[in-house]
Amino acid sequence: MFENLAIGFAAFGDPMVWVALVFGAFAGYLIGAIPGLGPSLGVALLIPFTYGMDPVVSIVGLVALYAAAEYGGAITAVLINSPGTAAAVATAWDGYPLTQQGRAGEALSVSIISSGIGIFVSTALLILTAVPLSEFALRFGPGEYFALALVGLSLVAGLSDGSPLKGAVSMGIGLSLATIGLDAQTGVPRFTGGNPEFFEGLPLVPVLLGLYALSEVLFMIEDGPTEKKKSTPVAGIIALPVKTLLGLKTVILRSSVLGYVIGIIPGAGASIASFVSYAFSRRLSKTPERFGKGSLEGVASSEAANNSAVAGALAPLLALGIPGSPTTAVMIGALMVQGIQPGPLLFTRSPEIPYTVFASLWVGVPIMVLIGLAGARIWARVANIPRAAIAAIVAGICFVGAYSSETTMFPVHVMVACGLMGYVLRKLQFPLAPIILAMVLGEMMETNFRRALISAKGDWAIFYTSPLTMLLFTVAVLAFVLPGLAALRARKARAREV
Amino acid sequence: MSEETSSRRRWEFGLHILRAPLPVIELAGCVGLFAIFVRYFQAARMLPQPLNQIDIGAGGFPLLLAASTLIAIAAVAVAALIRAFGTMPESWVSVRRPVWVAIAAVLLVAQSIYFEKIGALPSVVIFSLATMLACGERRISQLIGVPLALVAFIWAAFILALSVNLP
Repeated sequence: MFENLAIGFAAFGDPMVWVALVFGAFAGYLIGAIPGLGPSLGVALLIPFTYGMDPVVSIVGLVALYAAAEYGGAITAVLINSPGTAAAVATAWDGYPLTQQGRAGEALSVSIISSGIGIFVSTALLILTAVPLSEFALRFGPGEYFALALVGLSLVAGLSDGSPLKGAVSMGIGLSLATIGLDAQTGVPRFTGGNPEFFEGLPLVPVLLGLYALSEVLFMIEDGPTEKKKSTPVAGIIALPVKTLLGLKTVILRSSVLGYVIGIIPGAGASIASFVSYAFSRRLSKTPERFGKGSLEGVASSEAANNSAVAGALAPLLALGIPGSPTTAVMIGALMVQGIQPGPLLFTRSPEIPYTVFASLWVGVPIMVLIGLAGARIWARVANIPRAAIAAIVAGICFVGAYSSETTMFPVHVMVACGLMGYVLRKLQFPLAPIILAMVLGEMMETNFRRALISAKGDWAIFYTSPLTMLLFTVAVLAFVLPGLAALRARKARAREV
Repeated sequence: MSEETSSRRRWEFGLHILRAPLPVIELAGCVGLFAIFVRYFQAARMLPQPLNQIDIGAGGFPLLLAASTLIAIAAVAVAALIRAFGTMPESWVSVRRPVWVAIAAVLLVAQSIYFEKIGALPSVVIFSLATMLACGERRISQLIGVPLALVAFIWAAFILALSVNLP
């Protein structure tokens, strides 16, 4: 493990890796600070810039962007009460009251340093868990792999916004999109309408750009011109409140561990991690009455947890090839563009990739903290960039990025179709994350499903005789049914109130 | 966002806003999705049978998938019906500035048609300007500055740094 970690750190001998890290961190802060644009959209937009890059360089840039976007979301939450990402909502509950009390600098310092510690601690946990997890996954057969992918999809569908049923439909849409093209085992063209451009299947990057970025452009047009939000002057931003931070060490460490554990669960993600951690810290606090009115504990717990969830979400991605969050689902597309297939074999065949990810998370911490603290005033102003300009920039990059993926017009047409479909589905409140995840896992699921059946000579009992497969199927069913029951109970309670 | 549970519960079909109850929109969406997946199911059935009897063939997995998704769509539709006739407060879905959203959608389609014909950089200038106008931007400095800055960035990043052959 230490040998491989040394390989990961050795990647930083290449100056391009540093360029990617700093560029990714800047881009992440920028994306994170703009309300409405999240890390998923940021990673999708960055993918076209990674074509032709060295895989290690591109993965470092993408990971830096992912982490920095979570950092950046907190800055606007604290300064102008406008969370840049959903995961920073809980940060705004205490961060903005602190700003109103003239303690913006303190709130920002605590938020950014808690985020850094969160990433640092969770990366250590990631290294300790991802490697054994990948070694365990090497024992999986095709039946287990199919069941594992189903667990990932069920969790994402079950925990996604809206109802789990809509999540299931989204999953069906994604899997059906994945079946377009030549059948991997027989070479039969499927659902191509006789058009040879579909034979290779739907290109993933244009689908990502369409669903996440282009649909967002339509939402920005719906919003129209937005009013400027006045940011508060930040005093004493570089002065680190060391004593205050030492007093928060237990909260930060506890929230980091909690955030990592929640981040591992596919579908849970950074926002659930921050809400759960916030509630937990409030319950254990000696001064719970200060939560919501300007508690530094609240800011620290939310930020440490949502950044820890970044490393948590990377664990199933790297070790099992199952993305743990919408952003990692987009990231798997970026890895595939580079010819990297995440999963247990990644640790044995290309150990430099996962270990460079680990190293970049650690190396990135001081850089991101520095960029965040030094540029806080700039990031706060970023939230005031006119929506019209953002819409035009996002659309422009989408078109050029989609074209660049194959230098033909086919991906551009796919992207526009997916953008319009994404807008309609979001209006109908169908979650998009299960579509992406299902598209990414579709081929692997079908191949393993068929391999399992062939290896059992067509006997379907293969799916319920292995204890591990049965366990995974049970988890898949529970992951889908339990959130559904909870949603039903909440609706009944609301109906009783009316 | 687009969902509302406020007291302003009424249908609206104006130039500034379109508003309808979520269950009604969901039912319409389910009808569309149902039709698509029935077609998908039929196409899957038309795929060649497997040569190997222990394999399910090219159409086996899509058939299972179509059947499961059709069941899920039907369940969403039933849930929407229950909510439409239930005692729960209804959620409403609205589309603000619908005319501009429709224009923007047309612009996206038009850009995908003309991107190659008029060239990447000119099309980005023209369509980013149009997108900004659709978004409500009317300041001349912004309308000129942003498309030009964007094109300069695309030229530097994609053509100069990444050596992409843009049309």
